[in-house]
Amino acid sequence: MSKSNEDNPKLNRRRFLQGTGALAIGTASVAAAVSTQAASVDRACKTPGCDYDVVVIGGGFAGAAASRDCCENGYKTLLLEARNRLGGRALTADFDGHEVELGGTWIHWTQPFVWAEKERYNLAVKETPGAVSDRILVHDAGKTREMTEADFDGVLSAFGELVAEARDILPQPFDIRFNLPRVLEAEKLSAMDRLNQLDLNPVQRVAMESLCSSSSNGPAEHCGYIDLLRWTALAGYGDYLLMMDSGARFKLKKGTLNLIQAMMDDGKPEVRLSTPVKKVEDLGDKVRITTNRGMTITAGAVICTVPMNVLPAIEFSPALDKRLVKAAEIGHTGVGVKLYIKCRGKQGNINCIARQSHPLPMVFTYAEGEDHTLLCCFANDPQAIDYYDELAVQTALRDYLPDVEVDSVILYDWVLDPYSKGTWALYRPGWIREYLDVFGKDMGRILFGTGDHGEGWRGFIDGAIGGGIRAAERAKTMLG
Amino acid sequence: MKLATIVIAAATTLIPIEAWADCDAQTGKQVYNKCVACHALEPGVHLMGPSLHGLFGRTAGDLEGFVYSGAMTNASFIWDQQTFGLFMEDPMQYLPGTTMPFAGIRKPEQREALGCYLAGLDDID
Repeated sequence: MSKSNEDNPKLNRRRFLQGTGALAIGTASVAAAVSTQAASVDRACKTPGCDYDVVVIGGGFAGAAASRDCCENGYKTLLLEARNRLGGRALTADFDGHEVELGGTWIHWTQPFVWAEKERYNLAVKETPGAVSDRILVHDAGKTREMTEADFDGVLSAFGELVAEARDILPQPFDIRFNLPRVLEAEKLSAMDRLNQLDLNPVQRVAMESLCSSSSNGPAEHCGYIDLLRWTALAGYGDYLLMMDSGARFKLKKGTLNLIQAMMDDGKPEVRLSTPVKKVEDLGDKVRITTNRGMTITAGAVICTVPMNVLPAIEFSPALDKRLVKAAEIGHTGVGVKLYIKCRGKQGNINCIARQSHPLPMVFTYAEGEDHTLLCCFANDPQAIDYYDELAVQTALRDYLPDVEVDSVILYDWVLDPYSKGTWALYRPGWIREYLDVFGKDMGRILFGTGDHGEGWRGFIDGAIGGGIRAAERAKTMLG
Repeated sequence: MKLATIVIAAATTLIPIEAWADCDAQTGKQVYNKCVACHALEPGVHLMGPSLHGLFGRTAGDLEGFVYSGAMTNASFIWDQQTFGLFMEDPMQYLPGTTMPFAGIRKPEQREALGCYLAGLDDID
């Protein structure tokens, strides 16, 4: 049977559903739980001759924050999302009775934007046990042993040395231009280059490699040293425990999507799901948006929040700077895997670390059940093993836990997803010199608010919310 | 669903279930954990992907109430043991343009077990 968009009556119904934003109603599971039923407060459009004052492209945290704020600023706002759910690179799923976050997860009070939202909507947090583990297992050169207190003191010392320049180079980590000459000098190095400058014992080396590759979700050679310093500067300048807390300890108790829902309920923007955007044209007095299915919409301003690696999939007029296209083709550092492993028995509250060449260089306890343990893992090379194969994962995990039996695994492939093409964004060495002028730079009425760029905690949920909020402020300035 | 599709679906539905009669549904249930974030088994419950209820015998991209990618919308194959196996081995290669972000199940026995599990659920209904 052949089908086409034109003669398929079901597709016509789908178009209708898209137009009303009603597709979210049927999605009852955790994975797509954000409802848009409360949407569409009837606001008049202030911009002459336009369908909307603001169209926000991308329904992750950046888009949710931007659309909420635009609504609060009194603008008739439409949020367009390519997938059939909101959340972007955050996705909550039920895995054998455990609620797991397959994408962005952890937040912390050192992260001003997301913590303000947590407080604003009175959302509770839940601790991930493995961030403060009872035991740390170190695997190196074919052997595994438990980290001693003396080892741990050595790790703290190594971390302090690794990021010792953070305060000097980034005295104002939310303003990367503040000390730009030093920044540009430092960013010539990768995190691995910096690691190789240090004289570390094997345990220190394993701990730092595991940390660097997990932080960048890719090989440490790809991660700019300056991004390691940035994260460090934002989390207490070399305070190892605070850095771990900021990255992997506290998550929203009812799931990350709970915060997106709160934003939607608050702002009540109009939402259209399953609506990828094909073209965005700045016409001078307005912007015209064309969707993949041929619908055209006009707005006074567009806030584009799509991930940097996806940006060239949309045709812009005027065209995107070639450097943005080049950066997207190279891609940010986030090419790795975040994996949950359900294994039998009580494995305890553990943290397992290895060099980045290991298939599971960072493993920690996410939840403990009566007869099983749920482990969260980060790996920087998706080709290292078949991460969908329980047996392959079990073999790798047995380097730490020799008798462990793996029941099942779950992950989401953000790199293959055409609407993300990667996990979280850290910059490669030299990217600030190459791209600082174009990353996130607005083009007339087309504003950019992705969490992949911008100051502070870019690459985190906090950075995404900050990017969206800042873009909404610029829209307000533009539209009046 | 067009009449021709109904006829084809009716003719093919029995084939996979018979072929998978002795397969390892327990392993299939375990393999389904890889799909659970995006696919529900209950009829009419669509997550990021469509419900897998009643998959076999259905024309690809033809489920009411779910917006598919353009590639899947325009696909004309029917889900059976063969197409399921080929698709699940490497979805993005089998159907370029699909937005299902999944590298595939490399082991044939796991693909078989998953298909068996899903077909078995249909059989119970």
